Amino acid sequence: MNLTVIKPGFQDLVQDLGRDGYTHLGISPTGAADKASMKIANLLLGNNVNDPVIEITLFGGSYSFDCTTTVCFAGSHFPASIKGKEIPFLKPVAVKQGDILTISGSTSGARCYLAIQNGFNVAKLLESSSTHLMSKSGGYRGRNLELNDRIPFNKPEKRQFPLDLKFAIDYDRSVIRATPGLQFNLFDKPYQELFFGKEFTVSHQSNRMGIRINGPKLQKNTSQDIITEGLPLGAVQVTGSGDSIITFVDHQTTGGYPKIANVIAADMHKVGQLRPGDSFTFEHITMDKAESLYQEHEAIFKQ
Amino acid sequence: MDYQKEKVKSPSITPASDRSIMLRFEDGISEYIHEHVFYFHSLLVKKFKKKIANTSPAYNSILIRLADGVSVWRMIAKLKQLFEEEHEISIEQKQTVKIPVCYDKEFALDIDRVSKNTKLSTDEIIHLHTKGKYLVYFLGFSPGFPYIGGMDQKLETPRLNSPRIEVMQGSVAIGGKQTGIYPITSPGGWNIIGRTPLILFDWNKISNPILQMGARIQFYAISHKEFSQHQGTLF
Repeated sequence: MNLTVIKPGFQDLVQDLGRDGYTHLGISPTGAADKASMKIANLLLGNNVNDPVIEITLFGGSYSFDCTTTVCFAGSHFPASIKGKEIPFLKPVAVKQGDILTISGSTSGARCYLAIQNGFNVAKLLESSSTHLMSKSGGYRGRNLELNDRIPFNKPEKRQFPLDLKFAIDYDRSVIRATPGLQFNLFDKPYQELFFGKEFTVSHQSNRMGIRINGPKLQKNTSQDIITEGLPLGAVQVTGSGDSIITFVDHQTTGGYPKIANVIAADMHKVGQLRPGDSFTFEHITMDKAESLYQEHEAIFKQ
Repeated sequence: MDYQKEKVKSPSITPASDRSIMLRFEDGISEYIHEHVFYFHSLLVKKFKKKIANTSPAYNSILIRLADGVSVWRMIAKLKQLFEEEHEISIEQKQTVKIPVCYDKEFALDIDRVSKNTKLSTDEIIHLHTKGKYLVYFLGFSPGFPYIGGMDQKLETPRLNSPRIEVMQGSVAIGGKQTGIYPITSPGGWNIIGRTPLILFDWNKISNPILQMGARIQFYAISHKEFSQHQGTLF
């Protein structure tokens, strides 16, 4: 049972929730850029939340199925059709043997997720099916899907799909909430205010390692470099030239740039939906508030 | 084997994000601080296995990323409790691992740049680089990449102005005051002065990487012929 790539999209990747437990060896967890949407696509099929999916970025391609099964899309809306008939998002969709699924460019954020009943079936690397692009490992051959790739998927069984699930996820990309970062105090008040007040725009040089954002130039109040230390997911690093980068899923595990802020866990899915040209502001959130927002966010998936 | 015992200064413990905690020991880079990081990293990973998703030990800090559902504040309370107990830092001193490096021009893409910057001849660079005794402080950046301390400061050379998109696996390099090895082919901005034929990172053997945190290493020069003979050998 395979999905065959007839025409690849911009960046089609096999992903799951990531490969935890190895950052001390320099191996970043990777995993889906928008884990909330990935979980939703799986849950709507009655899958395990961690079943491997295909992550589609900016625009998709065409894919054929050699076996009848059920798929489900979640995330930003990308027009998708089978035999010219538009297929809905957030609903299980039956596909027949020989069907060709065509996905075009996103009409909203950067990514959508194609889940399949019981998941795609690629060899696991350190217990995970996520693609680790930097080392060209994991997922499907450690890379983006290409023409004629055949991605195996698991056998579907007869199943009642959970049709009554509703997920209240906020996809508004104009405001991203953040707590003060590990080196917040290395920035004087005017810079802290610029950071939490001015607009940032997502650069074209963004990828899964880091989202580069153009906005006010920021400068730390010391010429001394900080000692290289671990990088939390979502940390906003400020480079020597004053530019900001949001540390993202394929991030290097340690770094030496000061971190002015950190995107809250409950908004990381929004970072996965940022696309070049998007403008947004950071909203200051206390650590206490961030933690309760995280708990509320996690509860959404436990229905 | 050599053990040392002493009373331990507690690190500062602060949230790094709503899902991670930073433990910072004294400011600075030294083997003394490294031993604290090494010891407590092992202890924390063992003691809080289910609460920790992953960790990044570094020169003088440990970043703990929490497992799903674990509260930052509750975990900080547990960590503070742990550091109220008495600890004896005991570190097993490791054998020095010797790593062959071919410093031939074919691999040493930037040795002339290092030479120009340090005013040392190629032979002097090789001599100083192989004379050093090094400590792997931690692994970070990319899979298996060792942060190595102990380079002779006469070899200090600024990083390249623009990083290379691809540095070949096994490349041995100098970046500022540090030396390093690229275990996998990856982007990189350090001055390449040679290459080891050994495979230093293997996805199938990650539980025992030769370049692990706390490893003692030394380099020795090999000829191009020897390089070819060893090429692709798993360490």
